Amino acid sequence: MLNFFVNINYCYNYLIDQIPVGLLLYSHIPTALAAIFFGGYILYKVRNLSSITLFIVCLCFATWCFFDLVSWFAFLGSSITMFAWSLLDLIALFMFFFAYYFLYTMITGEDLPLWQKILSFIIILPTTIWTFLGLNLPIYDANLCEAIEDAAITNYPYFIEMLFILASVLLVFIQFIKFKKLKANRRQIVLVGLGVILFLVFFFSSTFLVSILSESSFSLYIYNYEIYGLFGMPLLLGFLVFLVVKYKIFNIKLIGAQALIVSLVILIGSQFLFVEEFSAKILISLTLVVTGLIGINLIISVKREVEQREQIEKQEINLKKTNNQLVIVNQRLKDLDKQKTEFVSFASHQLRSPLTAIKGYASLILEGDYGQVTDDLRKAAQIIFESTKTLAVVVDDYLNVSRIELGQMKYDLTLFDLKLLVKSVIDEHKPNINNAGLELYFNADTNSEYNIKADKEKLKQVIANVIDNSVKYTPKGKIEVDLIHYKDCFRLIVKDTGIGISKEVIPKLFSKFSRATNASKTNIRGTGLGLFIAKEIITANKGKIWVESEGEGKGSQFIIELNTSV
Amino acid sequence: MKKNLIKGFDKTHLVFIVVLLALSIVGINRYRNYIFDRNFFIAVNVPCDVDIESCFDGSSDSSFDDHPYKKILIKANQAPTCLQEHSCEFFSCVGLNNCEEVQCSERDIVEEEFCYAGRDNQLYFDNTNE
Repeated sequence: MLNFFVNINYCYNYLIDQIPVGLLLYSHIPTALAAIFFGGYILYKVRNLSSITLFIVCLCFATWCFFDLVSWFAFLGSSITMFAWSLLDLIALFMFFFAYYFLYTMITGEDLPLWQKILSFIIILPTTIWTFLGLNLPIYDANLCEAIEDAAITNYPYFIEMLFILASVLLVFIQFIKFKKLKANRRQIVLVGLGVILFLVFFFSSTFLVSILSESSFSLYIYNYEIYGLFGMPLLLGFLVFLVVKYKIFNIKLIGAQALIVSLVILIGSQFLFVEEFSAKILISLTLVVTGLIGINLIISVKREVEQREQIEKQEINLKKTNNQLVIVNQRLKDLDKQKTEFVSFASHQLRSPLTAIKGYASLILEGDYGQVTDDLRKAAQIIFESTKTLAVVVDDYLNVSRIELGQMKYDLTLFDLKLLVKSVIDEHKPNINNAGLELYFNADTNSEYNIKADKEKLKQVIANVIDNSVKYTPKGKIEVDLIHYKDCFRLIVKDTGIGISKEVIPKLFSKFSRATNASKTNIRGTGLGLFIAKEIITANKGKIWVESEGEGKGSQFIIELNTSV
Repeated sequence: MKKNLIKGFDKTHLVFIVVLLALSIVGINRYRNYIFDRNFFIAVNVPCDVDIESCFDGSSDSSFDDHPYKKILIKANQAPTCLQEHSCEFFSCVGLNNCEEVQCSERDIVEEEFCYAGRDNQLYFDNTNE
């Protein structure tokens, strides 16, 4: 195949003595194709300065590879060799400039300053002029099938290439220091910088060393070492692919599987360049097809998984956002609730004083301290007295709720006999119970002691509330109060034959402002705070309170359980 | 807005245009010069008749194995194809412009080379020990 292009047989023989043509093709073509493919892919996906400069770097590299390969193939004729060879230095210099340009835009996110562009052109200008005039390659050596370079002119581009490498190192170092606090940015700077610098150093060292060594008698076929410098490009591509996959640079969603499969296909395909046996070519073709097919399936499935994961991550972010908003709203609600409680507390305190005065004066009127009163006036005073009494209970409830919510409820623990306390409460309620036409039974073991350490006044308030509730919500029948020992506890059970409670209401009954659905039929004045306060007080006294009912119309029983050890 | 666009274009794209132009101009000029005009010199060793010429010998720089030899520096557009193929039997610059024939002398030998004397084949310049 290659023989078809051979113009100068002498140079063809000279070349194949010097280096395997397959190795030459393998080092130049796959790397050049990979560079063009990657640079083109990035440019196709994103149009910005970084992608454009990267594409130009790849284009320069591929062009350099092509011209270098042509200059190796001296059997094409001296004219073609001279033409290709003469442009290598200039292309390499522009490649170095654009590699630095790419690094600058990638790291800083800005365009290269104008002064740096002008300076770069000024230092590249001499090589441009020499190349234009052909001064860099004055003679073709037909004995060695290669161009003879002008040493002084050829060394100048190496000096400039070295300057671009130093500038790149300096740029990475400065930006690394600048982003001291941003670890992610620093990692990206290091990876991009390392990729570009390694690429340039590989390229520079091989061409420079070859040039230096060619002037010495180190080796006859010194240009053979040049091909290893090209492997800097796969390194750069490797770093960039990693950055694209890991850090989504260029905002491209490239997945590792895609990069892996493309690399595999290029590597396998490039074997065609040096394998000559027909059976080996068939095997490579089959491997290529199988790898391609498996690769496509792998990419599709990985892509699907990545999309799902990204969707979950997106939802997680949304959820976090919503949670944060909820926390803020919740805090605001808490603040509002606290303000409301403070307001209720303040208002209740303000109401309590006049109520006490009204209640007191009504009592004085009823007791005849202001002289004889008529029946009508007595009746009116009685209503005032009862109403203020009810209102005082309501105000007290509000005050208690405020104290509980503000954490200001104080408990005065004393040792007392619970049975006596229950009895006294029953005695106080007896007139009301009799007036309501209800029967009340109190059962407690007379021989047992019911000593307990708790806040007596508050406990009395709770027991009174529970018995009062039973009286209020039992239109007819009886109320039974049992005080028993139960394990290490005392249990006070207040059982009635009243209106009962539905199962749906039971869980909410001890919440604030909660009332049974059928409660308003028998008592319209309830605030829905009594049981809430009762629960808070009992819980504070290390006890439990709950209600049991078979349902509406089937009565109910409230159970208060207090620990004997308290 | 338009002014900004033009300004932005200048700043970001001028550099690419300049590079493209420079490479194109240089490339076209080199192509014309090297491929069309073949305006460069070719250095080649050709067989030398020791009976009548001062000849070089000793170089192992290439696979060229015709010894002894003389050196020819000739403009590519003047050179016959046989020169690059090393198949010209008796090449001489006589009658050709831009063609220089270098016979062996102390001034022209390089490392590992030596000269043969004329008719009596005597070695008279030796650079092999350098």
